[in-house]
Amino acid sequence: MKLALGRIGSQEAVSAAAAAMSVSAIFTIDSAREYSEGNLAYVTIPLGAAAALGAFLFIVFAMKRSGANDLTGLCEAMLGKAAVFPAIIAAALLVFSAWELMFRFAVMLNTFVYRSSKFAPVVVWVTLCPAIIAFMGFECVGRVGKIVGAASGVLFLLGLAGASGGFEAYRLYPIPVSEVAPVISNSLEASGRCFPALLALLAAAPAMQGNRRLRLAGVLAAAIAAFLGAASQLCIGMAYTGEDLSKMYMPLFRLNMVLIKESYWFRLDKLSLFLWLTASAIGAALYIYAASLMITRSITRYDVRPAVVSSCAVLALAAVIAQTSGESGVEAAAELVRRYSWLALPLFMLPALASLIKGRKTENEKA
Amino acid sequence: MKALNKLIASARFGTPDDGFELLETEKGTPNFFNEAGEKSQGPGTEEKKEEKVCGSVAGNEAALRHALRADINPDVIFRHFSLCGTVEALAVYMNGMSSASQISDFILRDGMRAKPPPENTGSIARYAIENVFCFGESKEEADLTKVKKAVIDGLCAVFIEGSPSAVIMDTRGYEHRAAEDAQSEKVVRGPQEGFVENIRSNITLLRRIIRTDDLVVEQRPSGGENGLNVAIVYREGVTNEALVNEVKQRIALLDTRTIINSGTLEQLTEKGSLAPFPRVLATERPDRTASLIMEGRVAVLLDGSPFANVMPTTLFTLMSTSEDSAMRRPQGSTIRIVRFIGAVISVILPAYFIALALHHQGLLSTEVLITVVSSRKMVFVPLGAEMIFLLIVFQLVREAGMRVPGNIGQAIGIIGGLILGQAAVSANLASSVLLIVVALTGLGNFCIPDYSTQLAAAFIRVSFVIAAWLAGLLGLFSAVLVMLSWMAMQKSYGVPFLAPFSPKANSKRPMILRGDVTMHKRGDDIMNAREDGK
Repeated sequence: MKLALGRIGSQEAVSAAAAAMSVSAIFTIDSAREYSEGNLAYVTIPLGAAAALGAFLFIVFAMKRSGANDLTGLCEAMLGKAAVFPAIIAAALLVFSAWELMFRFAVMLNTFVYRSSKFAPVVVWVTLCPAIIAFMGFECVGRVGKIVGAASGVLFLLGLAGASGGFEAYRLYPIPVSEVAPVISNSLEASGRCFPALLALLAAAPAMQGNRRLRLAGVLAAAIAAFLGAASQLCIGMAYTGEDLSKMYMPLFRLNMVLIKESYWFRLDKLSLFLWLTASAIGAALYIYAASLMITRSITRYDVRPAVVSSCAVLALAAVIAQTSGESGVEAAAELVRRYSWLALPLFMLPALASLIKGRKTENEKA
Repeated sequence: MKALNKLIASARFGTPDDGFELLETEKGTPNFFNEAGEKSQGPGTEEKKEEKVCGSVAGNEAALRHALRADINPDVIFRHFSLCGTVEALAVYMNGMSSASQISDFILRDGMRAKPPPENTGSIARYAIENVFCFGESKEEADLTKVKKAVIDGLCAVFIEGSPSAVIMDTRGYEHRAAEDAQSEKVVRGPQEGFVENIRSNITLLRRIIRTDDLVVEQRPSGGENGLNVAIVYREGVTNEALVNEVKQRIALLDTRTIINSGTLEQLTEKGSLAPFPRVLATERPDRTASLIMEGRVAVLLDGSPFANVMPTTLFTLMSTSEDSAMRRPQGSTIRIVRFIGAVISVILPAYFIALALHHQGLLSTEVLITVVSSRKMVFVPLGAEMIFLLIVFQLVREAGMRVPGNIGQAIGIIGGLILGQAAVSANLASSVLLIVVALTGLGNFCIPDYSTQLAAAFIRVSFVIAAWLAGLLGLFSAVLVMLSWMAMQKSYGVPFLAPFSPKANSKRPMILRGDVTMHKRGDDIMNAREDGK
């Protein structure tokens, strides 16, 4: 039965989670809002990753104290049958994160590469990989993450280094410390983008072979995502001014395309887009699998695969609707989630806090 | 509701995943021995109902004549003689399978000329073994079924009047090929010998290399009605017993009409026969087999087949040769890197070219693009179809070259490669750029050492070309990811196909680079083998 997660090692867990968190942190930025006060992202992404990591470590600590195996177990211990509601919220957040990734990349591909193609076939191809990987199970997500994760990260950094000829430090102005409010609000949004990867690890915690490995996977994934996010945004910030950035759809792609046009590497800009797509497929697969697992465990206690298939079908359909119908309800809902997804952090810390208080009470009573 | 349940059952959702696991799972690490902690004999060792040898020669003869269809089988020989000049005896053997000179010299002549046994000698069969027949390998056998099987295998059975057991002597002497060079796995440096069709010779070739007391060669029926034997070779106490039992179980469950070669045996014992990659390593090199057995793997030899099936196997085993460890470290590592690059080129290059030429011309430099366009100016076939056509032609030439004997095969390769290619370009059936791509692909394909893996690469190559034809780089990247995820989930006798890389295993053995030979003292952790053999 595919409710059995299998077991994955630390390297696989770190690779999959880091890939998911990095692509979510870097590629799902809303340029207009993020860069409206200048480029703060090279500070806000690490801060957001740190906040998400803090919440993750708190929940892991609570799981350890309460003896729960995973996030669903923790919620069930605190809320009983009502645990289905946080599970649904978590699953919705994970599904949204997967949708956001797939939608962004489908739009990018349709805009920059397959201009003469319709949107729907691109979406189908983009959805295919995460769907198949998630269908094959959590072990598959981890293993494929291990195969392509490190290579994608290295190539990503090489791409940034290749553009270094056009970097100017003065473009980083205004410096983030001059205004604290946008830093805080952008960091909160960044934490909302970083948290789903850690949420997925919590959902699939039994596969991680113990709390220590789970913690290690979360810490390393957050550190890698913070580093890659900060590095990429710093490079973008040195390449374009905040004003230019707020008008750009995908500054990283343009960074590769424009700044090094005189060199041979100019012709590899689209190739780098496909490399990012590979990492995003791993991330989306992780989200889809974790969401399906949470739904399945909470509601049906049956096989995960039908939930994976239906999630992917819904995602592809939502992407097509969002693109073809312009300012649709899907896009409006997505915007809402984008803004307030950080609320998931306190939401899932609440049962953790409750379990800690309950545990302390029990200890006091025993004493 | 019933219909829904039926649908779920037909999709196999909810069915338990009961595949054999050798490594750590949710249930924990499997024990080295079975759960009870006792060493079992393994499945397939159950004895069938015995049919006893009777004390009467005539009775035994009648039973064997009936069982072996002697009335219509002229090659079953029943030779009556007088043992020690006093006791009636009958030698039964298969003409051609047994050595007639050995039987004449050491059974009939020695038996007839021997002195009469003294009184109160006890078992006459035991007396004959100890005092009459000059054979190293001889034993008493009371089970008539085993006697019959021994006769079919080429041994000689002697029934003695009044004895409730027959004397079985190994007189096998059928014609077989002498050990020659391994044809499909040639090496420059290292042993040249290959396996032959005779299972006994093959076991000897292995024993000559592995001279340890823990080497076990278990022989048992293969499960085919043709009655060939298999030999399961492993190191007792080093090879994981769960793995040995799994191999035995899969062989014991076989019940088919014919098993003639190790390829059939491989397919019958594996799960998921549609998978393009092999799950066992088929090698005709004793040195390679011995090296893998020493690491804790199991080898299965089939009588009549010059190949050993070694299991479990991973991608990295399939991509290595026995020569790797014979070379110095820099050369060995370089060759292995070249081999992997060749394999990647052979699988990716045609699809990548198709993707660039059809969907992403912007990624090609102007010069290359002009060359491609000008070379295809007169070709009327679509580019994707042209590529698939050329890949099929490549397989055609290769297959023809392999099936035609000796030097003619090489000539066919040259004719196919040069003349046919040139003619195809002249006839505007193919473009010269595509010919170069396919030629490079072919060279890369030959870098893959294992023949089955080469064929798997051909299958994957065409799939990638179709994906790239349909959706360019998006299709290619999707196909590569799907293939990687599929490979990541494949298992060979409980060991993941991409181990020890993904999942990462604690292995000191190198995967692509050739490590220091001293590091080879330790076996792969993926085998879950015991290191000290205790």
